[in-house]
Amino acid sequence: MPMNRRRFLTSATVAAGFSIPAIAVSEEPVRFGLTPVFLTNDQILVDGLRAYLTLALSRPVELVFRRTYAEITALLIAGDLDAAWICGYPYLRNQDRLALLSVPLWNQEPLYQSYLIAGADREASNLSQLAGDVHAFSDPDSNSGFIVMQSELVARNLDRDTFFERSFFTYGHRNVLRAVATGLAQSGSIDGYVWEAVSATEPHLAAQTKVVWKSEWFGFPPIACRRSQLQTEWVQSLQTALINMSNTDDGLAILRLLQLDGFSIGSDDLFDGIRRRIQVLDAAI
Amino acid sequence: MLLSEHSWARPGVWPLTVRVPLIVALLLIFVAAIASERVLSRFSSIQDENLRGVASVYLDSVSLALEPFILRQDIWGTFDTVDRARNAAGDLPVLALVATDANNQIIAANDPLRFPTGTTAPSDLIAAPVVRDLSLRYPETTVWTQEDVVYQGQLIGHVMTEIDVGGYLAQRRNALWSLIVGNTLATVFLAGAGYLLIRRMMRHVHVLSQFMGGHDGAGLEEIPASAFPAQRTEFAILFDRYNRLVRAEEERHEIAQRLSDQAQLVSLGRLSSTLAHEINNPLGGLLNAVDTLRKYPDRQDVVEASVELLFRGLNNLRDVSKATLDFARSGARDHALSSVDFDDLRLLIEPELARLNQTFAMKLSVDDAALRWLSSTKVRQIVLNLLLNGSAAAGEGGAIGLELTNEGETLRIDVSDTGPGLPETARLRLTVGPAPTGSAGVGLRSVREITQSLAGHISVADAPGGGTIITVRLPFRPQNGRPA
Repeated sequence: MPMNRRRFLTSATVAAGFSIPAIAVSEEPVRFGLTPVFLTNDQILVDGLRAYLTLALSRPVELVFRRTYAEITALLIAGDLDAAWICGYPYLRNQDRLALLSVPLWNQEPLYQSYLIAGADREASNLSQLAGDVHAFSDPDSNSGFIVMQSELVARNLDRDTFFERSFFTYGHRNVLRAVATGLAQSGSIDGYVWEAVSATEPHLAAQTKVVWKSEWFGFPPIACRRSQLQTEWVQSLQTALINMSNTDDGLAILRLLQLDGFSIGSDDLFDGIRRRIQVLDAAI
Repeated sequence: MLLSEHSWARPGVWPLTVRVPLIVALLLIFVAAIASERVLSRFSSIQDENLRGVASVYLDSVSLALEPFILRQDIWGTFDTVDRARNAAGDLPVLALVATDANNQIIAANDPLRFPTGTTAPSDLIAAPVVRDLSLRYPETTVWTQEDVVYQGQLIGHVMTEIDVGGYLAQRRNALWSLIVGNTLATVFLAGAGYLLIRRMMRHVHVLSQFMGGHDGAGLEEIPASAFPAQRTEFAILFDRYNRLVRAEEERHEIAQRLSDQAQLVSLGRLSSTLAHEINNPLGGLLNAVDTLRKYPDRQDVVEASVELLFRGLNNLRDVSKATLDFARSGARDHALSSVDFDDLRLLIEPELARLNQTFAMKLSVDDAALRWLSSTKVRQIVLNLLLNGSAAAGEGGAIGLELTNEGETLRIDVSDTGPGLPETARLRLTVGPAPTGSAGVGLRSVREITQSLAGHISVADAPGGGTIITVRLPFRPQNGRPA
């Protein structure tokens, strides 16, 4: 990768944590996709992330929000987005067209679990006790919020269509927590990282639920880009910016809000757990 | 005026000082109750309108927001909307929001534990009134109302909301208490003021009542100047008029007494003329007898005849003078009535009857044992006056009659005449007694007053063959049962 003047400046600024005015605003913006499935639409976080990336890439950055993983994934594949924070499941489903850009580090690992939660006052301690529930999923393309539970039911030879009396999607992991906490749903499938994060920031909300079951570890929801774009200069810049986030004060502030430790380059085999789940599920269809 | 004088069990006899403020208080309470009812009623309808207005705007916006979620049967979207809508209800204290499909199956409620998803909405929610029919009903502190969710003209669901109306009811209660307290204070103040005012006014009535005499029959008495109100009020004028009335009554009483005395004098005057006539008539004969005695002192027969004539003539004069004397002295010396008194009366009026060429029929059917219970003087005055009156009425050649009958407990005296009948004024004077006009009719007035003093009774009737019969009934034992 040739080190031109702009690239040098950007890297140096990011590394030093300097704040300089946005430059080259006339350039085509980088479009970065996010979904509320994973992130809450926290304005401070959004503003901080946009500012950080704009500075790091020396290009204007546009953060694009859509309600579902499906919408964001479609936009990414269609080329309307340059990169997006998606789930491991749509990443694997579109692996021929998508490439891994970065994987967040939670508790210093690029891993997370799926939690099965229920109301705090329920006696249930395993999945079979939740038969007949109204169950809340987060998103049909969410590994932890749908695929894990679906494959788990298949693996246990339970009928996916009738085990829960009724189920619905909330299009947000935090919404699953709210649904179970309020009693709208009696149980829910949720991203373990989100549940732990909410436990820290909104303990009264998380305390109304309890974790009934935890899955095995999976690769953390990654930042992906189109495979064809992976080697472009600005994609590399983005990857560097993400990986360097934990090295700057602005980046650390964003990471604190996200309750993450940083970003890693990651490797494809992190998602083998999800692959196994997909295989179980595909075999049942 | 002491309250203890009045029986509390009978409100009709309560003193005015209590009754008037009480009536004022009752009227005030009545008016206050009606006014309060109107105020509260208007207040309630304003509250209802306000509630309907706020609820209508709220439910319109909520149903609009819910439309796409209900259409998709999106449980989370519906829940998220009702949950945020409940928290963003502004001034409307929304307790619950429930969204159902067109068949009243709950899609989501803000409180899913109370209204679980997938169940049929409770019947009271389904029956909840629409917003335009919403009204507060005491003592329900919460109300349900609902609105249809319509998409492209099709009913796709309902949104139902429970509203806490405790604040509205508290406002209503506060208004009610304010009215009660305010009205009570105003009523108590006005009733108290009325009591003091009336008591102050009644003080003069009390004074008047004291001087007018009570039930013990005490006479009227003038109100002294010291008891007059300080200012020239209506009561001062009333007191003044009352005093003039008292003085007039005293004068009337004195005049009546004087007239009564005059009546006796009038009777005596009329009698004295007949008496002079009676004395004068035999005097000629007696003087002739004396002359005869002088002329014929030796003629035994003439002397005897003249002496006899003188004896009878003088006896007659003695009887006449005695009767007159008795009548004139009647006030000084009274004795029990007897038949002799009626012989005296005949003697007294005979000259008058003779002068008018009248006949007199007297019938006594009562013995002295009964008559002695009555006063000779008073009965003689009654009968004499009635006989003289009858004689005057009967005129030249008329007839008068006197009949005494024992009617057990009473003596009945009938005096009849053949006159043209008693004029109405004379009849009234005899029985009722209007104020006398001059000396005329003094005799009849005396008859009435004396009869009343003897607890008797007078009636006047037309005689069958013309003329008048005046009947006087006198009880034999009028008061204390002691012989007169």
